[in-house]
Amino acid sequence: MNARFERLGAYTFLCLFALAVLLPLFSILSVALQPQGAPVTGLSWPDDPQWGNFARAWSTGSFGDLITSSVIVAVVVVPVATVLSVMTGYAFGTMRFRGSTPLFYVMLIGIVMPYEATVVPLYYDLRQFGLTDNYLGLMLPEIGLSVSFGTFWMRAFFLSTPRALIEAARMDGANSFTVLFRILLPVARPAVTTLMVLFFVWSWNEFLLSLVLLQDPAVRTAPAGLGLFVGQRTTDVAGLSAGALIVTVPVVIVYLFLQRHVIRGMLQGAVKG
Amino acid sequence: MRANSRVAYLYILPGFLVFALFVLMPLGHTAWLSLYDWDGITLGTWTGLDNYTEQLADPDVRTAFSHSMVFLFFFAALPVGLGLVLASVLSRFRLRGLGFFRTVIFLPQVVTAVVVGIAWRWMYADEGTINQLLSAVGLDGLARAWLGDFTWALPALGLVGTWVMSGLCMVLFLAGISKIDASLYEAARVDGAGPVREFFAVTLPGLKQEMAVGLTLTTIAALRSFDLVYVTTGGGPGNATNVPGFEIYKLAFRQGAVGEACAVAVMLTVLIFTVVLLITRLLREKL
Amino acid sequence: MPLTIRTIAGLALITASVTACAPGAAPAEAPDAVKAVSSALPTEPVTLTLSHFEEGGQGKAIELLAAKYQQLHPNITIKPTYTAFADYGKNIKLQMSSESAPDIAQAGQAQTMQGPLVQAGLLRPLDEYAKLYGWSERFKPGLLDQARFSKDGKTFGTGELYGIALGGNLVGVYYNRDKLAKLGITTPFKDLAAFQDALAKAKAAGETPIQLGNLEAWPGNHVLSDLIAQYEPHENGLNWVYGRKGATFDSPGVQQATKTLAEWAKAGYIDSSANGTSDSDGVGKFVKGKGVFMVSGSWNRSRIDENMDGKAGFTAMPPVKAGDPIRATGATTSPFSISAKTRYPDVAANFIDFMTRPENAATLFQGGYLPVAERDAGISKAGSAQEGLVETWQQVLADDGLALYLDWATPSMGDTLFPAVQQLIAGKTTPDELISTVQENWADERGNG
Repeated sequence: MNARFERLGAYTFLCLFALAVLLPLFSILSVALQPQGAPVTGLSWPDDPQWGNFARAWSTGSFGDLITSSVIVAVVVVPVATVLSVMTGYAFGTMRFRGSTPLFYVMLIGIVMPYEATVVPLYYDLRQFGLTDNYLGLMLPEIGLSVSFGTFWMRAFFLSTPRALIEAARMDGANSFTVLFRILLPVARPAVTTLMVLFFVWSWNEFLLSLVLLQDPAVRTAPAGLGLFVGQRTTDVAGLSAGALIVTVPVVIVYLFLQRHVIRGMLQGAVKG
Repeated sequence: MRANSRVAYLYILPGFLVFALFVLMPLGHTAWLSLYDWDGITLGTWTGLDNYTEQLADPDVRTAFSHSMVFLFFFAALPVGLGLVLASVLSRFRLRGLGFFRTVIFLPQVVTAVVVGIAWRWMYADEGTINQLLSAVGLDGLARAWLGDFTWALPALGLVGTWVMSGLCMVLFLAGISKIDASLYEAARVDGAGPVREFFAVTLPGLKQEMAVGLTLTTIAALRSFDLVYVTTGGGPGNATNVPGFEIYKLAFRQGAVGEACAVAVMLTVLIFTVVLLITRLLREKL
Repeated sequence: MPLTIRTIAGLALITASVTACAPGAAPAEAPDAVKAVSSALPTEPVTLTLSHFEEGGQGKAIELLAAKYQQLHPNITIKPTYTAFADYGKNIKLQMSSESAPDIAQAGQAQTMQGPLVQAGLLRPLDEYAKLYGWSERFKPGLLDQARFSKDGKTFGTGELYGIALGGNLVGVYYNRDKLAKLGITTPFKDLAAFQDALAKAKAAGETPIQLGNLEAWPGNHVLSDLIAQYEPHENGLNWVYGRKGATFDSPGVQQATKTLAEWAKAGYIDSSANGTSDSDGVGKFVKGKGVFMVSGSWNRSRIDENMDGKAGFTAMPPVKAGDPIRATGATTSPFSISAKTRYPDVAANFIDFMTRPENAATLFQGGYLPVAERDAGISKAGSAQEGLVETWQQVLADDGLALYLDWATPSMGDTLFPAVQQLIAGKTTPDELISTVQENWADERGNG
């Protein structure tokens, strides 16, 4: 009896927690369905839900363009950062070389370092090379930061693979390249998938870099577009909320399908996002 | 050995190059610019450490850093504490559907901070959900425009951090507890330990590593709260919710005080590294 | 040679020494005032780029005028590019210094944008063109002063002319006609006391006297500056914004104005959730009938008219003494400047002149500009807020009574003043503290206080 009571309590609590998590998101939806020009209201299902707000945000609010930009950036950043991370992680995890330890610690700086600390000179440096207002100008710093975590992640994975596996292949005369591609990568698939999912989530959600480095509305990514939308003098509250939901959907879909990877990755020391 | 080294460097080179060019160099450049008085366009003048002394003496900058400390409580201490208690209570049961709850509770981690900010801006609005709930339970008297209130704006933003980080902590600790050797719990029970003693004798020591990870994650989030502040309050009302990250943005891109902005950036970086180092030291966990 | 930590350190040192020079570029040679200016246009094909941040109807008006100009001069193309203001301000300095600088650009205003551009020698002085086209007859002196700087860009409000504006903006009092009728209040107010009586009446009737959305912190500052425009002698106020020697914020007029605002807040005349409501939501509330008055700028006019359809009016913040001239916070819109790097200054000046010619005034007015040059640019709908706004604008302009914006005074004035006004409204700071904080910033940055 007592145990059952406690169990009920645990469920009640879980339900409350889940509700608290979902409430703000429902709040956005509720506002997104209000007629254009209405001020912010609390949770209430409008009599006449304006689903058209989503279409309006997509076309006139240019969220279609913003999403396209975000996709372009992610499509480059994720694979490039992954390949580079696998390479660095492979070297740090399986090879011995002079300076490996200090070099590894240097690369860890990128995990802890606040973006705020580099964005100011980045802006002026990239500007000098004509890389602001250019996808490359956002992609490269994103890749740099991602590689930092990716190195940490892949090194940990390669360290955990049995050395005998590598040694045996070496005996057979395989070079380091063959070892990586034939022996290790097939085993590393889950770790690499996790890494790619994390890179995607970070790239998609990156705000400050995009806000500062991409001025041109034609290349701006979704979060920065949203952020500037909020700051405008006359805000279309309903359209903004609809836009916010549009921006959230892709990443939530990825999360729902690959949540094992997302949760695992974030819990094992991912410190960004 | 030497050949092996060369191969290793070749593998590292591309990744390191991008990292060095777009992360390390700008970081160094920040430190360099912090020694200049520069408006971002005309020729800068060397000022040595003036920017630092000036910013350290500036009450606005000081309050910004003190707000970071408040955020440390709401983003880090509260979620970790909450997560520990909840995880240890929940782990006592075999609950069906835990996977579903885990998915929902972890969700705030993947939603971009800008959307989180918008959602909570609506929640805290004058006619928003929070006030709606308050008046539903007859507490109209407490209703206010939360983000415009000098006393409540900062804790209100802090609670957003708690909302974002609590799920992460709980899921983290649940996973940690499941890895603790069950025989330890049995032994504790044989010794007649109640839930509380069990928590302190078995759960807590067993979660050392997860605590380190959790504290590191939440601390960094607390000190990097630029996105949330930018979208919700812009540092207001007054300077009641200003944080170092936002101060940097304001100085550099609104006032054209690039040198000063970089000085604050260096201070923030040093602070984050110190705190993270402290956490890893205290919990003796190698990063 | 194996790459060791030592070599890496060496490389780092090399990169450091490469970057080890002062950031930025020395100012370009300041261009001398153009000697041989001409209104004659070239016959070869010419394309000029124009950067601006005018939204909606105003941006449309610029595009219309560019197209019309090209019809008249088929060999000349004017290419306007719009950038949202939030980005524009951050980018313009770098854009103007680049090799691909636009020929014509909106250069922001005051020390926030235009000053640094002049200082860097990136804008061309226009006095010769002003003479050529007779701009000083077309515009009131107070309007042109808003684009004048000393050659070193440090002194604002006098010196060379660096731009011409297409229109203006103004802060005043919007009101809800239905509520005024119910409360028995009539406009315009003969003096400030009459307005304060109206506020008290509204409060007593259980209404929100003044609607204000001040989450962004700048909207509240307009209420204060509109009060300062009444209490502080006009010249003193301008001297302070222009950063002239000896000016001070710590004057009887400013003290009185600041005290008045604090009293209004204390008396509950201002919506109690002002600091937590965005400007946009504040307008939304006013439109929905929460608030008898709203002290705000002309930029919110179209939204108010569209949603209240004849139920909203606009009047000036009344003077302290009945019968005194009307003063109001307001200014020209951001003027258009000519790049020091353009190859075709004559064409650029000719186009700027073209935009402000009488025959194009109607186009600007329809785009939503308050007319700066022509009095009879167009007719607004009877009974709209626009009607009152245009009338007030003409009254203010007739006496050259624009008080400008307080945050123009120094680059960081906004970040100092706006939060302080939020604090004042919330009773978290006293008028004296606000004044001394603001004046301290002014003295620091102006260095001649």
